[in-house]
Amino acid sequence: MNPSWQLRLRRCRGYVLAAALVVTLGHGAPAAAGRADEKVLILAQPLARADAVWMAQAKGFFKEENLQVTVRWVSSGNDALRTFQDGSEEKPGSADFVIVNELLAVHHWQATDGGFAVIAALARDAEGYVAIARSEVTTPEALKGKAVGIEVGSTGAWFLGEYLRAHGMSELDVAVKPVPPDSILTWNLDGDYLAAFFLREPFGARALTTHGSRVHRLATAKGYMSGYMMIGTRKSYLRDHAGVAERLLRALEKGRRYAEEHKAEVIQFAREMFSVEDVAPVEADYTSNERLLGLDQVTVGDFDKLTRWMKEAGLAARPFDRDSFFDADPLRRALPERLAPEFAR
Amino acid sequence: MIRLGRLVTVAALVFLTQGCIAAVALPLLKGGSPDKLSVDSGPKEVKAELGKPIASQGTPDGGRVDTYDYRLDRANERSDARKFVGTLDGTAFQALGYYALFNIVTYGALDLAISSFLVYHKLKTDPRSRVRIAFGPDDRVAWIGSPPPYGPPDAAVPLSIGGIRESCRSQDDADPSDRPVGGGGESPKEPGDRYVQCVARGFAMWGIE
Repeated sequence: MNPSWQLRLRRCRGYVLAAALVVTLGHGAPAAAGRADEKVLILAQPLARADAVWMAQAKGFFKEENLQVTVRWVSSGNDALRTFQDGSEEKPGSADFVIVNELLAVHHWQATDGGFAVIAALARDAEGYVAIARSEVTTPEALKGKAVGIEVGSTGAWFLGEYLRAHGMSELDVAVKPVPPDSILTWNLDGDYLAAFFLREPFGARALTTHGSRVHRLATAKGYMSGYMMIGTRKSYLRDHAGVAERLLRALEKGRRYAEEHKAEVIQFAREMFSVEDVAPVEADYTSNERLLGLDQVTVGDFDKLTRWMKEAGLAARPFDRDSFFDADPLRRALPERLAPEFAR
Repeated sequence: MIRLGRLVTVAALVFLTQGCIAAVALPLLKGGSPDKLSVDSGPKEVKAELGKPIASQGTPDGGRVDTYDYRLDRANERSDARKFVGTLDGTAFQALGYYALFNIVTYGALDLAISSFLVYHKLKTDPRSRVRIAFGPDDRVAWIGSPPPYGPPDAAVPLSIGGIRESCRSQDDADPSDRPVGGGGESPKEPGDRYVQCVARGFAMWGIE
């Protein structure tokens, strides 16, 4: 072959190789972009029930799933939902996920006409809900005709409903008194007419310390119901951000396992993040917390009870639709073993 | 003639700009106010309001808590100064005239000296305060002052009396297993009675007498 043709051929090969390289990189670039950290903003309350989130942040589990997660700590579940509702996907700084209790989650699902969905129960707690009664009130029947203090519309109120129902009674058999939970600490056992309080810890434990043997723990919610921490988002977010919820759940699963085995680090997180000095409530929450991250049959049963109670309390604005309230698809893809058969397709 | 013209121009400039240094510099020295910031503010907004932090500490979530030492914003004081100018009488204006004259004679040096003193005095004597501001891993403000306290109260949903009535109306058509149990003996058979009992139960649940 003519040397000049050989030279041209070599150049051609060079061009072809260069072009192939460009094509390869060009195809590779979107794949790399797909792996870029997705920014996620979560609204949550400072509670050890969310310790899977705490540990996922502190130990870099979100990062491992290519998520850049910020948790905005809010002082109440209602504030969290207000902020979540005010935001939208188009609005910068809007939250992507919210962690609230079971009552608020159902309430928000109703308020958004089913536009909100829960992707998993993060945790639940039955022993964290207690009935503290005067020492002479030793049986459920002894509450009949007596005044019971609750924060109406709260999980404590639901606990009272389930407790009475389980013992063949209803709220009609007692006199419900709406009181803030901290009023148990100033309970006048000589003059006050209240026979018991149904509320969430740490108020029960603090009341036992304050009032000594004049009061006792009549019951915990174990066997009656559980208070939940649910993680949810807009259905439109799940549609528009395919795969993010799955990555979030996988990171939370790592956080859940880590939190379960590293109590000291969970307590330390609370100290440093929330300037906690008295760690007793954090330790109590840590101990009674059932780290779930799933949707199991107990959850299904509890939500059947909850929605029946909400209906009786006039809080059911629309019939409860489990398939609309829970979006089990992300959990099915990320952690299928955490899904009850009720959610099977 | 040209020299006189220049002299008059300089004198006029000094006269017209007297007090400008203080007028321009002092408002620029306005203090900071964390109240003007909110959750989700960016670091630039915080810096513009409070300056640079004097200390910074990392948080376990990958964010940080910055401590700011800032001069208090005394907006009231500025409006008081405006009111004071409004109350100046003839004698005060005469004194200002002398001040202007001295300023021209000293080619503005007097104004420069007094303005510098005023700025120095303000910086030295203005009250200061400190505030802690937390930034999340996204570099946005997470909280101002103190973090939300651990263990917020059990969140409650609001009462709706209309909701109770609506719910009770729908229960009349519902499956019998949906109806409330216990409390008040046998379940009433008539729809009207069922509705009344259901509303009574709903009210009892909310502690409405």
